[in-house]
Amino acid sequence: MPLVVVVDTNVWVSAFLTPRGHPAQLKLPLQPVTLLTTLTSDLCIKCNICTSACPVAAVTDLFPGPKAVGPQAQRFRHPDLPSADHSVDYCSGCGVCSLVCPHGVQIAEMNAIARSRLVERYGLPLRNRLLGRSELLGKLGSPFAPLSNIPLKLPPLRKLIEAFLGIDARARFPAFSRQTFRRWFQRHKAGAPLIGFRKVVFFHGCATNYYEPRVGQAAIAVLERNQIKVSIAEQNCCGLPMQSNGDFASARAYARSNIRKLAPWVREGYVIVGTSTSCTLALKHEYHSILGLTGEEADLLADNTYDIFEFLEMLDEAGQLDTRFVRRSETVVYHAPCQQRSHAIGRPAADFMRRVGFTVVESQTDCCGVAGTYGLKKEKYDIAAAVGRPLFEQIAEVNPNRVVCDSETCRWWIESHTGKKSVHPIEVLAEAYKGRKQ
Amino acid sequence: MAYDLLIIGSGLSGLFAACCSARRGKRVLLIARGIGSTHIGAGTIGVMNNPADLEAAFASPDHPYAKAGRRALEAALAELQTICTEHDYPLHGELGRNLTLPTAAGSTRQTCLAPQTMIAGDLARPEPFALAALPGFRDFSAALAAANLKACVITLPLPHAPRRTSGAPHTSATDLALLLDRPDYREALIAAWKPLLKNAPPRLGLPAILGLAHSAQAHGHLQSALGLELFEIPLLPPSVPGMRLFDLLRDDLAAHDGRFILGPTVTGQIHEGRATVTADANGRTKTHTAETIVLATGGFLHGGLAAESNGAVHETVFNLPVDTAGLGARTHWTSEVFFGPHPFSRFGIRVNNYLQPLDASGKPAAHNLLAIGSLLAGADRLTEGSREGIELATAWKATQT
Ligand code: SF4
Ligand code: SF4
Ligand code: SF4
Repeated sequence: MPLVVVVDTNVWVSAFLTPRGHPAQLKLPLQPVTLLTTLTSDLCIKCNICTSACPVAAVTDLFPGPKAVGPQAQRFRHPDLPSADHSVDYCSGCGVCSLVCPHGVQIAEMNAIARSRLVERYGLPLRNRLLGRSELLGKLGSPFAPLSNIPLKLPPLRKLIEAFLGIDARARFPAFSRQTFRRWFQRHKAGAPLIGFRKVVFFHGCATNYYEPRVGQAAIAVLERNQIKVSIAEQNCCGLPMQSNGDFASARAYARSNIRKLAPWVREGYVIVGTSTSCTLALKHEYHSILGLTGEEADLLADNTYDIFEFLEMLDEAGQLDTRFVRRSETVVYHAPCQQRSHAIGRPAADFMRRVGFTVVESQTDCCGVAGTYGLKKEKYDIAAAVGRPLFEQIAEVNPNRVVCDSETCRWWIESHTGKKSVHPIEVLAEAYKGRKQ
Repeated sequence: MAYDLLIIGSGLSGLFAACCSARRGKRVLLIARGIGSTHIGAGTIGVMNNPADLEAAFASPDHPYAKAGRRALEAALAELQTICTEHDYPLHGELGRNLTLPTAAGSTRQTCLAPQTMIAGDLARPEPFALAALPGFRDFSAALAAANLKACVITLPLPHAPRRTSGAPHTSATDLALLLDRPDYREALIAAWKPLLKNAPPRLGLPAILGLAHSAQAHGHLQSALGLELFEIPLLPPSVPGMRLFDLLRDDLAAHDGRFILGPTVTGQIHEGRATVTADANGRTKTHTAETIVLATGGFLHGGLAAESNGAVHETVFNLPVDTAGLGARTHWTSEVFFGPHPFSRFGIRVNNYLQPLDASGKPAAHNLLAIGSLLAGADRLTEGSREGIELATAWKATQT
């Protein structure tokens, strides 16, 4: 259905002229929030800062860069007309462009929306459909681990998968964990006497549940050490993989279901805390600005979701964090993944590791390349590897024992390209409480 | 965390102020909504197109140079040179003696400091030069520049680069700069270019693409292998030389334990004479306090100033009064000539000699608030060629408190 837009000119003109008056902050007389996102294209002054920062445009000529596919192409997109240009599919969704734009243009968000229009029109390849269903894969694979881990390690099979599905044979997949995180949690007895009154629902995401329960276990240990009551509410995949593959209908179904399941907890006084910076960013920001979900419950969830280090920093500032760390010295490279950067909260994880006694070499590479499922695709694998190259070189140069990174897909990608073990910063903090020597 | 200095804005002035303070052991937080002036500038340091005008600027009380003082300008240039040299990116030049360098359109411009990769383009030197035409790279027309500069053009094909699958031209200067950071690509380029440069003049001008992180190596390697002097000519944005400055200042800040948060929109509050700021990102608001808060948000182009359709102009973080030289209606803001001088370019915040912004009554708006860089009233930076000089001098002065 064509969208009829009635714009109050006064509001519109001030949106145009006030860099602070980013339309989303104005009371525009229109709803569809995603329309507000695309309208930010009119704040663009064509300075090209985004293009100079885009890690994908820097390494391939298949992608003309954020200014061109974002605010520029936006003018030629019409709900009823086919898209003139498909190059937006090469946007990895890393969000760097939105972060560096000094004028508030939501470029990455706009690109995600444009991709969804392509998918609506041309359908989603089976490959993307599969890669988007991280939760389903986990449900299928986890019960049969370690058996289910074998097929993805067989080179001939991987060649077949590459030929038929377009998943690059070089892309490494994580191993399913036999025991899911939720299973572990059900049997886990809270260790500390819970005298605190802070209450947290831990959003574990698919990766922690099916592949890396250790990350969730570390998070629970840290939270409970600080007298926090932790619950694992009913929850499902955040929907980001579907969203970034352009299937907004499925992504919205996941998102709505999470909103429905989690909002009541927030009403009960819980906050939602997660270790996966991409899951938490989805709950906090993308449900609203990309998927266009609004309403009281959605806002409640957005306003009360925290990255775990953002949350710990708040506790610390309130004087409520147990800071009796067992100091250890270790040199690590810390890569703040692009989704962590998009939280725009600085890098509290790096600060905490320094307090534990670590020497933290921070990566200045904006994106490791993989961007969720982007780098796993055959036609994008080389691009993604080229994006991550400066990071891999830095890691080789510093030569640490471990690389620290908040995002699961990035950790797996970094491990496969550098041969270094990669952990979540919350694992480092949990060790520092235990005083465990490596 | 309690900071000594909180700086808002990540253009040249904000980054430089942050680095200078962090290097003196201060606890520094830099917050910016996006990247600032570096990426759209030429990556050179202009102080004054005509050095003789500098004295007059120091003597005219409302000029930002007068607020900063000569000593701050000298010290700032020296400190920037030190930082850049430490990062293997030396800047050459001295105060009072400008270099005359070519532009991409073939006109000339005056600059006080320029990176090593550009100085062989000094037009005061008598040796002839050629300009390189790189087929497939759209952002530089050697023919246009050469016609204006009376130079010759040599066409130098770019060797096939990895991952060039679409057959489309090379898309951006960033893309080429990253390739030129790599020794293997430079070797391929040298092999392709060397035979074509046999009878070339002793100097060769190229668009500014000679590497991003390793430009000193790229420049040195190509110069010695090709046997001629190479100089870069800055292009339209994205500016590779500007990105080098941004990257090295950002790295220097991190190396001195400074914090940098990119993304939030910042709003300021003044309560009982003391300024604090709140940073807004993803619907989350966080308040930051600091001994000193430095406003380095730039002018209209970077969002430090905003104009309304009714002619009102405001400063976007603290809503400080803006000096618009008494020009109310927008029709008086511009002159008939496109390249100015335009009255609006002098608009900005008024400060006292400590760089404290003044409120409507002429008193400091807050005792812990300073303003620096392109936000300050009283100079037509474009006409004077003084933008970077003002940014650096006021930034340096702000870190002396
Ligand atoms: S950085 Fe922002 S204003 Fe500049 S070109 Fe990109 S979208 Fe436009
Ligand atoms: S999201 Fe990342 S890949 Fe996509 S345009 Fe922006 S910077 Fe480039
Ligand atoms: S972002 Fe999180 S919840 Fe969403 S798919 Fe990935 S792991 Fe699952």
